[in-house]
Amino acid sequence: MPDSPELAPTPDEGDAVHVSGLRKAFGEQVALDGLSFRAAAGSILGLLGPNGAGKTTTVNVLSTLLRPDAGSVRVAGHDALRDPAAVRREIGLTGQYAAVDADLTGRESLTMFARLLGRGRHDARRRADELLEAFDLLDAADRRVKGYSGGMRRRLDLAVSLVGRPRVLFLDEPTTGLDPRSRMALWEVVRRLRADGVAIVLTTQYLEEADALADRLVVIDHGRAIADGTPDELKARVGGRFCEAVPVDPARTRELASLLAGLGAEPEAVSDDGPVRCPAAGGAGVVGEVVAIAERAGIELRDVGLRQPTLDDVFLALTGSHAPGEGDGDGTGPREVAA
Amino acid sequence: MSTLAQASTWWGRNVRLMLRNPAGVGGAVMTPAVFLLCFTALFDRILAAQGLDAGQRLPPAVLVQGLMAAGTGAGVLAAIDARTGMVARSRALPVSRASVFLGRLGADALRFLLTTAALLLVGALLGFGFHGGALYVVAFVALALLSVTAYATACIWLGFATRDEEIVMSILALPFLLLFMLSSGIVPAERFPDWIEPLIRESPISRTIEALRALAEGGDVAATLPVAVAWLVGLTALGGAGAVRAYGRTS
Repeated sequence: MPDSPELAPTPDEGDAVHVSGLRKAFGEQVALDGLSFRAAAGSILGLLGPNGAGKTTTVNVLSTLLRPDAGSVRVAGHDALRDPAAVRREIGLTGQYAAVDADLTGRESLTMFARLLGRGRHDARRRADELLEAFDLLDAADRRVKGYSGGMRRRLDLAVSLVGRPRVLFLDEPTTGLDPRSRMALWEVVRRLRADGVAIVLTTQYLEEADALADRLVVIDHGRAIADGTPDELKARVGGRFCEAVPVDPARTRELASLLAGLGAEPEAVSDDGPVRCPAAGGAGVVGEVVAIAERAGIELRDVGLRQPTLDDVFLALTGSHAPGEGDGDGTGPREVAA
Repeated sequence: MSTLAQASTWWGRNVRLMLRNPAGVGGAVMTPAVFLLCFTALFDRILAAQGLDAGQRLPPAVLVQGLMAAGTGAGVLAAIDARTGMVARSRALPVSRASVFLGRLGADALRFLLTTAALLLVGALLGFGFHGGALYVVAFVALALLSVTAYATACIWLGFATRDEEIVMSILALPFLLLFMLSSGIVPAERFPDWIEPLIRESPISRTIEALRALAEGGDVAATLPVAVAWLVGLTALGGAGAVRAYGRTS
């Protein structure tokens, strides 16, 4: 084994997930390159990284769908490589695409999986009812899933993963493609599951999602963990929130930057047409100050607001290079902070 | 939880999904019957001129053509289950692998049973009949079910491996058409050019059609049935091994 054991996390019987020295290559392409991390029981662990970082491969290994080339995997106290059947009895998996039959009703889907997991007819129906209620799907229970909204589909998908009362739940990009309201509703559900003692490992490319949900974060790049810590620890390394202002007249950008130097803006780092940024650890108050200063100088603003570092900023801070594989624009560029 | 109980749950789900798409089931069940009408109208006199009875000759051929279509349908459904994550979900649960296949093949068999019934009904109107005892009829239906299992298994392999129903359909369309054209389904093998005749005679399609014809005639089936069964069991074994492998790689 080429892995240096001292770099691997110390095993802990209480860990929900314990992964050490994971390697997986698909032909020439290395997906996992010595990945190690652990997730404590009853907590939410966020796997954060750009497309192609190895997040989904990791979830597939953890959920026994994929055998790694090297490394060890323990899930809910069982060795996932030696005894995958034991792991499958303890886990739930919600993949990137809602894996529910469009032509079945929500109730039928839940009942079917309850039956597959060994419940009798009556018992299966009761379990389905419980989950429909918990996931606010009772009204839609007898409608076909193809008529569900994206958010309802995701909720049903998650409910199906919970039919067997798993101790560890894997969520692969659970909110990709959801509108903000559905996203927050799903976050609420995930928090409730943690409160019920379920350990959750979720992947995301959204820093704000990781921030809102995770107790600990593992940042993955090129198949290895490049940072591991609480969201606050990671944000501190990135620099936290900032206020961004853009003058209507680009010619006055540098002038504005000089005026805001007192708030921590760096005039020399501003480009002619770019935004002016200053730290805003204090929150929304800084925005008011920026507006007041611009007004006094007679600089009209096209845009001003509180921004949060993005995944790209995290990568910039951690690796000195931009996040790879961010073709779709998600996660790049500053993102509005939810009010 | 026993594999059989899980298989019956999958079967129930697959049948339910099938019934929720009545146009699809109706098409699959009725198409061979309609083909039989068309083929009979086209070839009745031509075959009669050669001393062949279209009414007795064509139904087994159209049945085999229909089971290739049924196999493609099974492959398409398998591809959809792999693409949507249904397969990954069941692999991450304590669900037996065999139950997934039994549930799938069982639903395909039910649909093909309906197809066979519709075809035999129309066939009877056109002069098709069983000339042996009840045992021959049972054997005829059993061979039809074994055939659909064989073709469906191979197509399910393709469905799990590609996870793309469009690819499944486009890959299978041409070979299945060729296999049917290059068989003794309509024209007897000896009427093909000499150089290709052995190929026509030995093709699994011809072998299956001839065995079905022999069972319908009710005479001696020793020359045809064992070879057909050997082909189909072999195809099922090969397709099954591939399908299980592809299933294990789906994530």
